Amino acid sequence: MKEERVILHVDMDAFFASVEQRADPSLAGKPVMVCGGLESRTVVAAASYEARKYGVHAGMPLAVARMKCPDGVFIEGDPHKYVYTSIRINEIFREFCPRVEEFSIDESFLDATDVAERYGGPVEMGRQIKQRIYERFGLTCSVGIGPNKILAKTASKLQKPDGLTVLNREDIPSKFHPLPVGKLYGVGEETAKKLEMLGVRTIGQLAAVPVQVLRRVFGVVGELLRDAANGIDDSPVLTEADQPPPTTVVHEYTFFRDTLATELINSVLLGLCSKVGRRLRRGGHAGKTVTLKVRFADFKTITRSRTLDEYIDLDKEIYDAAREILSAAGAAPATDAVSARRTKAIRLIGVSVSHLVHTPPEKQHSLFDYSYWKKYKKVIESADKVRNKYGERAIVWAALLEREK
Amino acid sequence: MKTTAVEEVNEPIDVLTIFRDGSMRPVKFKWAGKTYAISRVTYEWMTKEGSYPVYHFAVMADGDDVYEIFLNSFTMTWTLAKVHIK
Repeated sequence: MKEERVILHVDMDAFFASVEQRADPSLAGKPVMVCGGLESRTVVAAASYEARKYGVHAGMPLAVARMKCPDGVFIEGDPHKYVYTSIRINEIFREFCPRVEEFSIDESFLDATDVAERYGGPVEMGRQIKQRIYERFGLTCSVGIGPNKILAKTASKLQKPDGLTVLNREDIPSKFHPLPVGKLYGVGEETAKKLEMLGVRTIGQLAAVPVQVLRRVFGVVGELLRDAANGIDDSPVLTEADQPPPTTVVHEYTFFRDTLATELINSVLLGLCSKVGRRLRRGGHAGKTVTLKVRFADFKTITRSRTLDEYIDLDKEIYDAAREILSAAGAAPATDAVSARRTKAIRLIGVSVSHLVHTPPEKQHSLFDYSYWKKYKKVIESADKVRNKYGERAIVWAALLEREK
Repeated sequence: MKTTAVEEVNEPIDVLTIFRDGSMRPVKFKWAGKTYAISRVTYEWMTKEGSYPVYHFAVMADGDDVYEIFLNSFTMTWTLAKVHIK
């Protein structure tokens, strides 16, 4: 018989907000909301447990959070602080167990099947991990333990904050099935709505729906949903080495105010293309399809792609393609007062490159183009070397300098 | 309504630092002519500027005010990044 796996899911409690409360002890016990920015159009990235009592949660627009919790403390988040802490916490996990999947910045799965007994069993291992994190950072986390990722992840949510919960197969009828179906990993708001229309409100009710019905409503996902509801999940814990290579590189930017300003839009677009190019080159990738996403002031969003003949990874190549798409989509910024009246203001712009390959084939250029391209490539490679040594801001496009001021 | 508890400063400062057993601990800093005694380091983290580490500290000084300072190991300069306003 196949050995039952031991999976731990570690979920940091109100991670960003807790880090800020540690960094500034006067915030302890107060409703703290960490946001992407303090402009009204941003959203809450994390809310402390004190803020959650007011009904504030991650993803809530800042303006709404301010109404719900007027006396709360709103902080512009510092991603560097959280990324550093997350990296160190995952290092602690790897001291316990080599098979660690960094699921997100504040959640990880550990496959402790072969190591749990060394620490006195899964529960004792979970307790020691919690203790190490608390001693090092003063942060609490909730640990869920189960025979697979779905049950472990559900378990970590059952007792929060600072929980340590086991959800074994024998607990499925009493602890797992009575939960609302929205608590099942993989069931988002839309899926939950569809399930409710089928009369499914709990995980147990979902487990009892014939798979043919789920297939008809959800397609291939139907079967996965049914398995998940029965606590069946064979998906492995994927370490960094197991992760598939990226399929796309994307960067987006939301303007501080909706804009028609040509120079600003072009400059932001160049900045985004530059970031995408840099990430492609860092990973040794090149891509063939450039996609532009534009969200207008009225929230109408258009996404347009262009697949090129050759693989690209240089800033200007991406920028040229993105500009062409922008013009063709009729979203190009106004260049005169007349067209300004015809063009809608832009709220958000995003650029992505997909169809990636690791070693792109040689380019087919004319002699003149090739000589220019080769020189340009050398310039970019030199700029990358400068950035590798002195940082991303050590060398930037001149067109971006004005915006940086 | 409290909109923010943090103010960006980004000004160079002088910092008295103890280096011991492979780690460093800032103990005092001087900003705008005033010296602040650090009573507690509340949080530490590191970033990189290219290949050079930048060491960040959230410190409590002058009562329970919190200041975020950092040492850029390439320029070897300390900066007061933020002050948490009470």
